[in-house]
Amino acid sequence: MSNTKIDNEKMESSSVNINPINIEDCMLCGQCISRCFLHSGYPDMNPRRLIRKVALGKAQEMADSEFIWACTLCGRCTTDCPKDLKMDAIIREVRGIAWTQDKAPARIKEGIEKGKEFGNNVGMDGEEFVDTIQWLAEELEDEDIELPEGALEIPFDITDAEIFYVPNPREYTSNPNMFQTYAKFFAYTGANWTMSSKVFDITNWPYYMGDQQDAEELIRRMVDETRNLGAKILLSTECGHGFKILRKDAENWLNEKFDFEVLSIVELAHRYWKQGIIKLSEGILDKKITYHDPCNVGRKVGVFEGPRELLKHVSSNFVEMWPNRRHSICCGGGGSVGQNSDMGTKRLEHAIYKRDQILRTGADVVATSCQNCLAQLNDLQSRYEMPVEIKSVIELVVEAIELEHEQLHED
Amino acid sequence: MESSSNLTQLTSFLEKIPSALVLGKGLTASIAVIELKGKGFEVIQLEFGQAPGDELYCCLPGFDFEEYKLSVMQSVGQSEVYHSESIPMIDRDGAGFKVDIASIRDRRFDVLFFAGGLANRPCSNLDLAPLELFGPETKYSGESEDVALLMDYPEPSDSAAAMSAIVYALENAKNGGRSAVILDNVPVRHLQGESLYDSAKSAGVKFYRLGQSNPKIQDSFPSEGGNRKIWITLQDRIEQGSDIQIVCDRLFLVTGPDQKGIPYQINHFLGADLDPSGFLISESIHSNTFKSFSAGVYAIGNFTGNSDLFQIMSQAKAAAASARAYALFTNTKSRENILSISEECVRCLTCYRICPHMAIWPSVSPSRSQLNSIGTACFECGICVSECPRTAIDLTHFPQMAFSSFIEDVKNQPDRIVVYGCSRSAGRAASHISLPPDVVFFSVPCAGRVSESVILETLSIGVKGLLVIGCHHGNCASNNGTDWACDRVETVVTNFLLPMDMQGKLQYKTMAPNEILKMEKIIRQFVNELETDPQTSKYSSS
Amino acid sequence: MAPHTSKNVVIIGSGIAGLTTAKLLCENGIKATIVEKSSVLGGHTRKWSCKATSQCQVCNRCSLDDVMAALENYGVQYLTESELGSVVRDSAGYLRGVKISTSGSEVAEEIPSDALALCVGFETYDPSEKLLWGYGALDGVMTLADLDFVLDQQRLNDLGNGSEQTKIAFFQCVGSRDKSVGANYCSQYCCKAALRSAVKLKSEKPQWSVAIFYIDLQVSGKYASSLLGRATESGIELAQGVPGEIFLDENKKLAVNIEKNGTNAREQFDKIILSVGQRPSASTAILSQITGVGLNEHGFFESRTIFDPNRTCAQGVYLAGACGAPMDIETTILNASAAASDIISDLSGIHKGA
Repeated sequence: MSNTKIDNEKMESSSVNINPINIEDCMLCGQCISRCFLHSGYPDMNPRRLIRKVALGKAQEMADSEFIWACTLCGRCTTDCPKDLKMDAIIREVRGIAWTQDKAPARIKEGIEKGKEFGNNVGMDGEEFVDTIQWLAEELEDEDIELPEGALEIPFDITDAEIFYVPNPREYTSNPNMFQTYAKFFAYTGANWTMSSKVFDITNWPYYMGDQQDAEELIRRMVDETRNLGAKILLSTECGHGFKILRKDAENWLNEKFDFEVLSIVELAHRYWKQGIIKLSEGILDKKITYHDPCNVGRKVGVFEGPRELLKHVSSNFVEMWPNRRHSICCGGGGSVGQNSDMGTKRLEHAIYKRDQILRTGADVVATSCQNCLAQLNDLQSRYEMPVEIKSVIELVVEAIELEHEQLHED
Repeated sequence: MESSSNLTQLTSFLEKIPSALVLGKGLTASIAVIELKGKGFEVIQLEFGQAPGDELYCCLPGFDFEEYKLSVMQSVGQSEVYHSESIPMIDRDGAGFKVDIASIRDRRFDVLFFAGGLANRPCSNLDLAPLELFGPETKYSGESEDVALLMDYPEPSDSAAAMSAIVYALENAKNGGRSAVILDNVPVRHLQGESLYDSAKSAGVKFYRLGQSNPKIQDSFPSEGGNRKIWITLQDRIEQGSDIQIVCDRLFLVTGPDQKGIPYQINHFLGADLDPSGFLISESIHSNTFKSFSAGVYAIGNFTGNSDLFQIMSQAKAAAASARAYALFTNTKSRENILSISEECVRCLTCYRICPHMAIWPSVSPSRSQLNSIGTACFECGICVSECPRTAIDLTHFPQMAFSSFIEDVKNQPDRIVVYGCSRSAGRAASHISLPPDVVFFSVPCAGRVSESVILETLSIGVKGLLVIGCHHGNCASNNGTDWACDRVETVVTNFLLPMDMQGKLQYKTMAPNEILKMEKIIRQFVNELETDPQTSKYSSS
Repeated sequence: MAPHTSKNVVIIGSGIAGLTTAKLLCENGIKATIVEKSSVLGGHTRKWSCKATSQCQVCNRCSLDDVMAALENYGVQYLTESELGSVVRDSAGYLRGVKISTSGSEVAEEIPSDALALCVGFETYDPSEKLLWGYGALDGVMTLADLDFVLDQQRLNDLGNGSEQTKIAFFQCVGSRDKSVGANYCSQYCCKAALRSAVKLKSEKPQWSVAIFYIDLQVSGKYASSLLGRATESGIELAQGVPGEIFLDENKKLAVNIEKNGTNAREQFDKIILSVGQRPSASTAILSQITGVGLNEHGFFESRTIFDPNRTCAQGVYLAGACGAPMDIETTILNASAAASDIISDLSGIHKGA
């Protein structure tokens, strides 16, 4: 009744009725308010008020607000929501309104357009990609690493390889060290893997915009390529949302059951360690390590213990942040916030909860398993001059493997 | 109905068939009649006044209320029903009652049931032409409509009425209508209340929370053609944004039963047994929402501020079982000598006025009217004994003599601290604590039995201090016995002790039966105060 | 006069529901045997404290003492540390007795029984399940039951921080109205209990500040005006919305992020009291197996129909109190009295309509 009726009379086009998942179920309990890390950053807005506005037909007001772009879709506010609402889904719906009205942040829009055209958000074509990757691998060969001949050659478009590895564009643009780390990981473990010269972007920016059609299209391409290559494992790099979509949403979106396994590289590392493929000495890294649960990998997918088991094994001193696991506090850079240049450095100001949480542990190293978290945590580290190193779980695993080799060598 | 042999079996141990008078009409009264008949009562129903039937809600969806009503009507079967313009005069007849209506004047009833109905409370602070009061007779037509339901405005709505209104909103929304519910607190009574709220929300019923400012309501009549519309402008308390407008064809106000409809004559035989809102029966735990302090008098339904079918059913059942126990007790026990009224009585009617249990009743006769005590209705609290200006009344089990000999005993033990405590609270707790050596505890039937003269007499023998402990205000099993004690202590302190600077010597405190540690604390504090500086310690009344 | 009937009713549970049922039965001349699992009578009510200020707040705690005192006049048989083993029915299916096993005794004792009343009450929700409330982890986060213990022990000062500025908050709907913990229902008692406790605290310590965070206050009806009125008069802050996370701030004080007057704010508290909801007692499922009384979707006993809340589908088996649905003491007394009433009607052999 009511508002929509009036709205329609008053502002025909601007009133938007969206249909976010069970938003009407909200009973205004308010638990979400106190769990949102934007609580002090946006004193006049909070998750409950946002839901309330949307439920009362004022979604447009929210679509025009900055809040929806500051939200990292971390979903912490609605973890064990009494009515099972999912804040990340709601925000994506609201962003969808802005997206269709061409009000999305420029950098994200550009990324999505490039993704549509090139299949990746940096606009790199296949040839350039293969060249870049090979160059990165060649650089590695100059390092003093003991590996069988050819171990560092990067396999492309190999059919019937066991693993099809999909990287994050950071690995061949801003953060090439990460790719080198993964390449070493594959080399040390002797994995039977391949990359694709056609599909090489794990990210899914349309997902951030509530752009379901384009989001599905990207997934479709990745799934088709997996089948095309005949891989048994579709392996996600350390990327939160990319992995989460593949693991949790993809089958529903495409309405099919996959005949291959979706794994994250951290899960693969854990598996290899359990199988004895990777041998690591207990406490080999003489560091106090803590683990940051990426929202997508942890809270949304439920990968909590694998990375911890690995870290507890290699670290001489593992400490937990509080709260952790399902209730982990977001790094502040997820959900497109890290890529959104319009937000400036606000993401660092909003992340003080994470900063304090890290500092309270007194750890030397913060490990995580999402490159977006990694980038944000690195920025946080320099912004607040935190006396910690930020490392990915795989980085630490590779570091541990190399230390083992070194020690073996010395003996 | 089953064979009457069962009835005989039941009643064989009652000396006679118990009887009940149910005052009221509507479903509540019928439910009461059924429950009483089910327990072997002979029941007469008396409909009185012009009052409507009762306001009673089956506040959960998916249950066939109409079918239930029909089954109630069938079960009531043939009952004796009488009508009266207003509530008639009712008199005690022993532990029972008789009623001054021609047709049943000669009948005696063991128990009285007030099961009257009340109309909806009208809207007190707004004059709104388009507004309809939501009531149990408000049936959803099946046609989809634009409807708004305003609740908790200005005071909280009855939760059963509010939930029924939500059921209405739900049905309308299911039929494609638009429903808006405007309220303060969503009622989620019963195990199924939350599911009702959930289904209403998912069917599209919109819930708005009343904000700081009152909603504005306007009526619009289109110049020609079209329907009249009601416009509601409000701010949602949670959303806190710009004004929201709701347009609807109908606007209901949801209130609750209106206590003003309770006939004032009821006070005559209920004493002041009303709750703070003016509904029947005080909030006391000794009433349990259905039993009056007046022995043999029960109240259920709207008169008690209740309009929830489920709760009224429980009330009716509980009251009927309690009434049966009362009838059994009064018909089989002989307690004539519980309370004696001597020839000293001058018929001042003090005892009749103050007895919380209606256990003293005057019989009027041309030769010599007199006051009669009704042993089976008497709780032996002794409030009447304490207040009788002629000391004409006495309790058999706790006679005046008991006090006299206690005081005589204490007289011989100098420097004693005397504690008079209600047997229900302090009396029970006292057995669990060890008293300081100079403290003498004396259990009394009710703090209300500690009369002014007892206080003065006790003080006069030179005790070091006197403490009177009653139950908490509102928690007295005789309704206001503890308040009597409080007043008397205050009076004595003000009138007799104040000039002598001895206020601290006499105090009144309250406690509950389970507050054993508190009793210890009260006594310890009293003793300490007396010992530190009895002359300056303050009189305190908690 | 001799006992009025030779009927005996076995009552499982000695909380306020069981004792109230027994009392009304005894007053009506029916014998009662009370079977109690633990070694003490009184159930949850025994652990409550009196909430009276200068006046009774109708918390009904002392109803327990009253009903126990009343029962002293009747020959009620109490079997403590005992549990229902099985029910005995005749060839026509009518309940004839029950077998009771008592701890320490090998043989289950058969007791003739014309009716069986299930009065096993509830269990309170364990709030440590929702980690972010910090129950068990943060000092100063307690439950209503913990608060009652403090009040009962007359140790109110333990709640303060030594200064006049002590701040106490109540969180409502902890483990109630919450699908995520499997309890999508209102526990019915907590709003009134919290309000009464808050009023009690305010009356004892007027300088303290007391806030109640709620979703929907469930206090309409007979007690609404007096209870809400007292709460407002005594200056208790009523805030809509229950914080979902409690943490220690830089001063090591309990803190919560909330919305206050439309703006996000942070508040510190010395004590936070979680008003924990009611859950079906663990005995419920076991007794369901033994008696054949079904359980509803929430795990409470299912009554015969919604219009007949105290009878069950099993002949001779009745429900009273919070084992059928969550309720406060006052409603339990009413409900148990109604259960006794049904038993009396049914044992009288007079057909009861509707």
